[in-house]
Amino acid sequence: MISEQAQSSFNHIFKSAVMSNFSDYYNDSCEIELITDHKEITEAEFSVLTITSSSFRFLTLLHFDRNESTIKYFANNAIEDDENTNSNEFIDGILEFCNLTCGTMNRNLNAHFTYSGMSTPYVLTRPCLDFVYALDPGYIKHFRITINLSLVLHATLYICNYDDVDFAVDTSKADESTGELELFQ
Amino acid sequence: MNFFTKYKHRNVKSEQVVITAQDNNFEAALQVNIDLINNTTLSSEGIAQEHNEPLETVTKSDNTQQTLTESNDVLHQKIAGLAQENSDLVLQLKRLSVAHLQELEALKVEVNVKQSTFEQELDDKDAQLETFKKQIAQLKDEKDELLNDSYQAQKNHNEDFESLKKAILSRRGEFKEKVNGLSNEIAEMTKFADIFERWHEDMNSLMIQNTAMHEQNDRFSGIVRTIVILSVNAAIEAARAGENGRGFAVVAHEIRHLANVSEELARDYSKNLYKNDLITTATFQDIQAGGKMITSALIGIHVTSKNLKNSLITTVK
Repeated sequence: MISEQAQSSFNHIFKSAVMSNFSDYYNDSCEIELITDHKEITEAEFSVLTITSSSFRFLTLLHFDRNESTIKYFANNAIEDDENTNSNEFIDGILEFCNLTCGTMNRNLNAHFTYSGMSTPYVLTRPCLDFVYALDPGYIKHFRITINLSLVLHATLYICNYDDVDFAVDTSKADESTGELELFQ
Repeated sequence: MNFFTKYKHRNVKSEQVVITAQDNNFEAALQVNIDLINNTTLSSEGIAQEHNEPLETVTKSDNTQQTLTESNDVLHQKIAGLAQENSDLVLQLKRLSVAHLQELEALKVEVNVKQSTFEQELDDKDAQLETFKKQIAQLKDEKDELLNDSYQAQKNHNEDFESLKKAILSRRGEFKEKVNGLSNEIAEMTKFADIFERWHEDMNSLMIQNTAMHEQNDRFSGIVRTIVILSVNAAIEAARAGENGRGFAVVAHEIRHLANVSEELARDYSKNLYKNDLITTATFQDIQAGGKMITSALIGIHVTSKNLKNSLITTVK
């Protein structure tokens, strides 16, 4: 079972990590809202990254479309010239953001769980979402992420617990841990 | 003249015999009082002498006999007053003397009491002092005994320490070898991270394979859709052929049925491929993250074993 305070703590860790990364590395504003209707999530693809400990695994999904505004944002305006649009740059940008965010989350979780590890991110397509139930998650939450009041993305947290999970983070102050830059290959 | 003689007989000096037997201090005080009375007596005599001479002169003068008689009465009265005053002073002196004697006795008693008290206290202090001396001597003995015990214990401890040191030194090589072995094993285990990464690379291969299967399934679905269209066309042509095309219509119907089943199968297959994508990705990410977690823990143990080795060597030295 995942306790109420643990659920709130997971939410807080995710939100503070996303907001601090948008603020620190992208110098952009960001709003995150919890949504109850998952049908709002219609993006065609999503990146997934896993944080694992002995008592749970924590999957973070970032849903995105390869539309102009999203590609422009994550590929550092590479779409300005259509001929130079580089799909790898865009995917690298998305995956790097996921890696930074989950790295921050992992460091915050390390304060409560002595041992935890983080995977590298991977991109899957929308139809795969229909089979998340196969992982038997004990906690699911969907979020709407609005960047600079214009670009909208969605994120989903899936937590599969294999033991009772109970911990609490101080939600009264913003997370100041930025750690080192984590890159992936 | 008789009056002065009488007065002199009442001189306080006659009292001095009684008082002389008293304490010296009191005697000194009494002497002062007697001097005072003597002075008063002499003064009275002086006064009497001063008046005596005019009296004799008056007596010789018959003309002034009456006046002298009156004057003589006045003088008698004055002398009587002085005598009374003298008598009062002597009485007062006696009272003072008695009071001084009483006070002196009281002081003597008090001094005696205090002296006996002080002597008692002094005896008590002497007794305590003796007790303390005995205790000090006893403590000194105990201290000497403890020092001897301590010395013996230190000696034993040093012997034990030397013995233990020799034992440790004798096993130093064995310990070092074991710790080295443990450290090497842990270092070897940290290479498990490579294995986990290899598994993760296998996931990429699997996902590429899945992608190829997605494409193949899409192509298969396309073929099935074409077959459905063809079967519909065949059915139409069979209908046009009339009676001659009846057998062909049956074949076309069966082909369409098979195409529909194939299409259903392709859809299910596609769903399973997507499910496979998700489960494969989640599983291999779990393996990769778990591998990093284990590697991190092993690195921590490796550092601890190194510290243990170093502290063991330092301790033995």
